Amino acid sequence: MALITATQLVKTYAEGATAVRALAGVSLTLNEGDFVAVMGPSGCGKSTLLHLLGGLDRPDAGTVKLGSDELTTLDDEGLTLVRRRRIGFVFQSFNLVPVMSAIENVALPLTLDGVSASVAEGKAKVWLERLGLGDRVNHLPDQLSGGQQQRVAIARALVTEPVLLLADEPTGNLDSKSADDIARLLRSLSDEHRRTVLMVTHDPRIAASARRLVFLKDGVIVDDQNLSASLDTSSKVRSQLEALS
Amino acid sequence: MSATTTLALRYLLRRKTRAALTTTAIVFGVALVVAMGGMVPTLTASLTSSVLSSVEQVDASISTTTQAPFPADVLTRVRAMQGVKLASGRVQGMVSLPAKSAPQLNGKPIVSLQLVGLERDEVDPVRPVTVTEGKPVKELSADDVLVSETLRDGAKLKLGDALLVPSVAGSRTFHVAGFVSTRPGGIESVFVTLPAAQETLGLTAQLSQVDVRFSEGVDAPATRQALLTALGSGYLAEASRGNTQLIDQVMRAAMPMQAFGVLAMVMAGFIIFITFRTVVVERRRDLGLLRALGASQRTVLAMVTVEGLLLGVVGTVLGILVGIGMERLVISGLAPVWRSQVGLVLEPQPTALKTLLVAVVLGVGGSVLSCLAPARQASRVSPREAMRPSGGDARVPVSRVRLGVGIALGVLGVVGLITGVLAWQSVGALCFIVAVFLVGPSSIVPLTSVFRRGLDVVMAQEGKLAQGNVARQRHRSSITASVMTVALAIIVALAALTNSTIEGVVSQIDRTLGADFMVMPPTMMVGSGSVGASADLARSLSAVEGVDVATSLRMGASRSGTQNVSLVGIDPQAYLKVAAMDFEAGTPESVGQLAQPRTLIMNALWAKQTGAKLQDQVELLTPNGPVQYRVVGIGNDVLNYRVPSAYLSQASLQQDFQVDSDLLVFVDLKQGVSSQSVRAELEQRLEAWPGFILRGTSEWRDKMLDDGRKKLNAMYVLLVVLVVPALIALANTLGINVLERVREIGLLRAIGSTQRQVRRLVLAESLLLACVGALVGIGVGLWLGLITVRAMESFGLVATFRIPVSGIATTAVIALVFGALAAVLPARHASRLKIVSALRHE
Ligand SMILES: Nc1ncnc2c1ncn2[C@@H]1O[C@H](COP(=O)(O)OP(=O)(O)O)[C@@H](O)[C@H]1O
Ligand SMILES: [Mg+2]
Repeated sequence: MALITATQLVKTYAEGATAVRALAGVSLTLNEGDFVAVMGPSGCGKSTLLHLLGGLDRPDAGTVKLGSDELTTLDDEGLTLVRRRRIGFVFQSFNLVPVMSAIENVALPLTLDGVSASVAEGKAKVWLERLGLGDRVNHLPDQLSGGQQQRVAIARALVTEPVLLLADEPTGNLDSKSADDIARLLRSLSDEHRRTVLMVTHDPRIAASARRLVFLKDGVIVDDQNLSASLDTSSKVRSQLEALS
Repeated sequence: MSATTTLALRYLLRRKTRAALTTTAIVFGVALVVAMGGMVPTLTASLTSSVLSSVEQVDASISTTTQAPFPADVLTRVRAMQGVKLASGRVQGMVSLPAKSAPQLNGKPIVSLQLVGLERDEVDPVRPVTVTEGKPVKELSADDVLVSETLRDGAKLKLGDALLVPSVAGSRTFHVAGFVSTRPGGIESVFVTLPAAQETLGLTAQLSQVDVRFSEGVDAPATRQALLTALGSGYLAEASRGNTQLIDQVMRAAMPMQAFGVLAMVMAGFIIFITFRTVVVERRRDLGLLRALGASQRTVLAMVTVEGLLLGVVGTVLGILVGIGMERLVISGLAPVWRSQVGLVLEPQPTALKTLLVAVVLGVGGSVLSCLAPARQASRVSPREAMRPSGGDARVPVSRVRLGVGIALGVLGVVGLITGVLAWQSVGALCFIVAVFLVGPSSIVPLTSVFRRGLDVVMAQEGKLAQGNVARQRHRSSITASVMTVALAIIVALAALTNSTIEGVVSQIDRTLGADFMVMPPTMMVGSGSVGASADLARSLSAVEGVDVATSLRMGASRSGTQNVSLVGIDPQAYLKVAAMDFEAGTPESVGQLAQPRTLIMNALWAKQTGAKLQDQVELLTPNGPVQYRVVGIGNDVLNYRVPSAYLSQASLQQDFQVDSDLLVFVDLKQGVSSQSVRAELEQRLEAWPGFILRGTSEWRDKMLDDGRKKLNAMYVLLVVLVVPALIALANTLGINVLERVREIGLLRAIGSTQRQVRRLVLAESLLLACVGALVGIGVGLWLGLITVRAMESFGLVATFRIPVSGIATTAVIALVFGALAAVLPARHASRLKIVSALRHE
């Protein structure tokens, strides 16, 4: 069943005199429980696509339908609520609020929604423990390693029980061991918790943990395929990528 | 606590130094407002206390509205009125004591006190004077004086001691006959018999006040009203508001100080604005993140506003405390001077609720208001900012509209300046200042390159890098430079203003004062109430060999409508021989026309306020009711341009206002006579008039010039304080730049920059910004100074626009010093970064 449907998305950035066409007509449907990796060379529009899907920005043309809501018709207030309640974001550079502890960071989307601090932190604690950070709840971001920070960010993205998790290069700032951990974690979210996950990455090894692979080049989708769970996925993906770029 | 407040608090505490500095700015502004506002009730209470404390015991106290003396027959009329049981008249005036023989109080000579003449036999039943030692009032003889116990103790006076008091006839010696218990507050007064005081003050058959007791059972308010109706509009019959002319003077002196407080608060508002602008830039990613996580625009707006509110509240509370402390300190410092110069006791009064309210509104309201625009900007940060890879804000392009509007406003401003019309020049200045802010980001780079050339001489390497940094952060850099601009513009404008005023006054002295000498009391502060000299003084001086003319000025006070007006009585025939006037309407012949009864020459200030023209009739209030005077000229001389004044003939002054003593005598020598040769003789004649001193006009001019310069220097010191916010802003920007460039600085260090080079890099950037700020600030400041000077001229005040060279030099020095100071902490921080962790900094 379609969870989110993007149709003919176009986004152009005006940079001085020149205009950059970041997306030139992208259509994409994600189904509930999908785990999609978006790949492509740098500057091909991956992040832009993710921004539009998550209601962080508006397309110049095209539509994004989340459930029964058409995101392009919502006002800022409406988009804010969508982000707050139905979508979880994970960013490349962790992006924790530096002045809040791990548990406060995780609870933040709930407290912003008016949930009392004790209830919110209760839920936050559950997620932190689930992600193996039970002993780090009161640490400030700069007291955590990169991998730990990213797990806090993922816990924060999940605490509102969103229908869609969007991750932009979630492993981009991590060493390979931490990166593998995060990739495995995202996969398990999809497998065990039936979350829908869309992840942007340029690392074939990480992309290989997904179940579906979308290739983007110069603002259009050039390939969209399901991955078999076979072991050679990683090298297959890598050669595909090389062919494309 | 809501998430908003928690976040606001945490963010504030994270940058404690900055929060503290910003709060300091608020504290400073609020404190000045509170201190200045707080002084007013104390000063007013001091000025009114003597009157109030005397009025409480009597049923009515009659005086003229202008506090000028009135004919003694009023007393007879009052006594005859229905409902009046007893009435007693008194006469009083301020006397300046010659510093040599004045009694000391706490080591300072009392240079002026109030001489009070009492009706010996009538006073005690009406308003008793409590004598604790010596003769009661009833037994006073003509040469007896009663002094207060404070004066006795302070000046170690004994019964029988002599007290020399200047009089219209020269001087008069009284003997201490008793001591009276000291009232709290009030003017230091000494009491003599009514005829003795009338003689001394030159107020024969005149009174200053009549105290009245009503018969039992009469309706007091109705009787007071009846008294007023009978006496006419020139009189008051109630608890008087005290010497309104004196209060006017004090308020006028206090005004610039209050303006200073408001100015400081404006600067504080500005620094809050800057701080929050940088906060927004610095936290772009955090703000974007909050938005991405579902914080609404309103939540973000609230968060930043709450930060401003917190700073505002803390700053205001501290500011009020500091302000009250400052006020007490100033008052305790001022009290002895006030006591000996004005003869009044200063008792600290509780700060008025109104002042506190103003402080809270300015402090808290100003803080919140100043952070609103940045808060709005914060709420507009796109949630996508959260996704940006690290490295601070991207280059924000300067919008063409902004640039266009800026240039247009700048051109309009300059056109306004060129028109030479004050109104357009003022609008132009406003346009120009807005334009400076608008085109700042686009012009900061070319402007800095001007100074980089200079900087290259001492630090070529750093200059280049620093300019690159300025270019990369042109929005922030231009805002920082603008703070410097505003602060320095204020200094230059005030310097121009002061310089121009001094220049104006001195050139007016040169133009309008032809006399060689002036003979005057040492302090002229108390104006109309002071004892003068009879015509004998001028006569005696004109008899000196070599003197061509000696002619006098007399001073009176009146009221026209609600406006206090000082009156200057001159001799229409002789005046132009010793002085000239700058006429705005009329000619020197107008002075001669003053010989016609009830004509006057208005000074420019009063004329501007009322819009009066030649031949208009204006109303002056006399003790005998209002009378009409005809305007025969509008003009200024150097002595009377600061307050609304009118020149009239001494004959008119005597007829309508009962003033017939001289307060100032101009002495002009015959052609070819050297002042040196006459001086000794003049001094010798003056020995009989200890209340007067001799001043050479050119000495006096030099003294005025000197005083003016001293004031100017004192002002610079005060003004440095105004620039402190600019310092904070500059340090702020540099600090953030360093934070943002941690990785880059790490790289510089890694490839071989020394700590010193890194420090110099930060210093170079600071100096560049300070120089640009100073350049524009000096320009804008001169412009503002020109407008203010011209505005003063249009109000009838004297000033001639002069470019303040020393002011500009001071400003440039301040800019450089502060530029260097602001760089100290950030530079230290940058140079001490650990290379490896800096390189890893995200
Ligand atoms: N805010 C922006 N302003 C101007 N151009 C942008 C902006 N964001 C992205 N772009 C441009 O749009 C194109 C796509 O960017 P992006 O979606 O971030 O690519 P990717 O994430 O695939 O590297 C790039 O050429 C980029 O330079
Ligand atoms: Mg990207």
